[in-house]
Amino acid sequence: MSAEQERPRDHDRLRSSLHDLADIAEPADMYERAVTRSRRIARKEAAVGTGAAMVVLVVLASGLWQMPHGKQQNVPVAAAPQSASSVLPSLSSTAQSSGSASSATPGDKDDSPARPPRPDKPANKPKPAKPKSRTLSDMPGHVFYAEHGTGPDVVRMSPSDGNTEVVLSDAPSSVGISPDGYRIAYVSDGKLLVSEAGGETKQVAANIDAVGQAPVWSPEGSRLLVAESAPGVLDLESGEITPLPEGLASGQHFRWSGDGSTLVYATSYCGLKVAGAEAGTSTTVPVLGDKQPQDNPDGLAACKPTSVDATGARVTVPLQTTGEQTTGTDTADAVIDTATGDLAVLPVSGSVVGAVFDTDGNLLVRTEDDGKTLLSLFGPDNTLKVQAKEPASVRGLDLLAYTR
Amino acid sequence: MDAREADYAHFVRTRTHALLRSAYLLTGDQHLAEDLVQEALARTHRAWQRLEKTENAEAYARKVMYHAQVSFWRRPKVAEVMPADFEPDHETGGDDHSDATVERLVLRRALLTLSAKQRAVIVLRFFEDHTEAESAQLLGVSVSTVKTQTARALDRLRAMLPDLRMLADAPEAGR
Repeated sequence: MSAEQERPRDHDRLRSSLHDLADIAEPADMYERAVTRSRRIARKEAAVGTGAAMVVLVVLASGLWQMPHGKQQNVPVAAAPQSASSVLPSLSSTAQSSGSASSATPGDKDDSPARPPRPDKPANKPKPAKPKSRTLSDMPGHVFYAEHGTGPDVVRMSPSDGNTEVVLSDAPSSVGISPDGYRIAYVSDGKLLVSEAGGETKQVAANIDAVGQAPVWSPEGSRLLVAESAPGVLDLESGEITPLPEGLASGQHFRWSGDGSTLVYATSYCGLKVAGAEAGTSTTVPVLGDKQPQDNPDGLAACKPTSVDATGARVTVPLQTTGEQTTGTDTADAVIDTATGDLAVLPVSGSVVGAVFDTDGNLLVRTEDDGKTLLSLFGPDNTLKVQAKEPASVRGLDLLAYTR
Repeated sequence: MDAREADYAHFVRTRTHALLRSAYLLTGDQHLAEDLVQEALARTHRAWQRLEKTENAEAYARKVMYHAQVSFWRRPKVAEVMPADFEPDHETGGDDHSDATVERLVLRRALLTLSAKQRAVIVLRFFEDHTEAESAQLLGVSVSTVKTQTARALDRLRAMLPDLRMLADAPEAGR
């Protein structure tokens, strides 16, 4: 019998106290306010949800998505890049949409992360790359996953033996996994904490805000990029935080390239910028977040880079649409060329449900196809090193990071 | 106003107070509660056509409200609470009415020291009387998270509210 059932009277007391307290809430007529707010949301969405699927098909056909990497140039489209349309389907679809939407129940749809619908596969059958190995244990390093929703457990899966372990339960904030895979940084009540595998948890800084900036490890693992009131770099040895140059202070979701030379970050309008790690100037990644339809016909946006390759040439993002809220998924499903803003065509079949670079520039791609979930590890030269079935123990979790 | 809009207006005018009561427990403040309910009602307005029954609409609005309040990426807005607020009121011996008022204030402050998620599970489980599974579904978290958060929240409330004899008999078994 649970403790709860043993103490019904205690809980009755809590119940009645909560009801007493709720009585303080005064009635209010919210109709005008709610409708005004609804119209404001509608205006924000107006630029987005037009003919989304059509646009995707046109773009696919135009070959605009090809990424300028020699070896990949002629690989046909496999997982069609996701794009366009509105997010949070049940929240944002317009009241004018056709009746075919029928009876969405409040319980289900808006639970799914903010993802545009996937377009159908192109007519030409994709030709996925051939892996050098199909054995999971040939994949080096560690793969990290997180549960959906708030307070997720963070799980480490070791491909060498397929075992998983929870490295942090009920994560109180976004987390940063160290490049060696043995430390995890997170923020609890403003305190920046670092937990070591099999070791203790240490507080390394205070007054840190993890909402716009997860703690991000420098490639060599001695520094953490965090946000106090503005983003800065914490030296773990000295405990000192050096603010980023002023020109970068308004950026969010900074990520380091594997060689430490470059930072990629998001702007408040869900575009991406690239900056030298030491410099105060940055360049804008084209297309994404651009509000001009002629420059960004699909209304693509990236509110949150999640990882950068070795040199800053490519970045993984959850692909979103302009005007979309930044809430929703934290899991990248697209690879963007930072020089052109183009989406990489990944030579895999099925739908990409996760993509992340490690500091060496390897790209781990997670795909779903016919109910099977596969992990594909591409080297920095885009060769498919390993492609293997993912262990069932991490089903339902989101891909978070890939480390040594 | 067309029929659908009239239905929505009716829904808002009949259910707002109930939503505000929950929102007040989540935020500890009338204005913040109104902001939260406004957002939930606006999102419900956007989705109104697909919500066939009013019951669906209310469940939908509540779900939006809870998600917004515990969202990972959105700092929850709650009333400020200072540590000194926990000093027990030494002027005991007042009449029942003032005791009740003090009790409410102390509970409000205790709730505000919980994390947003802990507060949400307390409100869902003990104010709205949802099961653990329903609460998990509404918050978009696992049942085990609801269990652990509820246990932690109750521990914390017990520790903070000894004078109230709320949840008085500390559990000796079953934990």
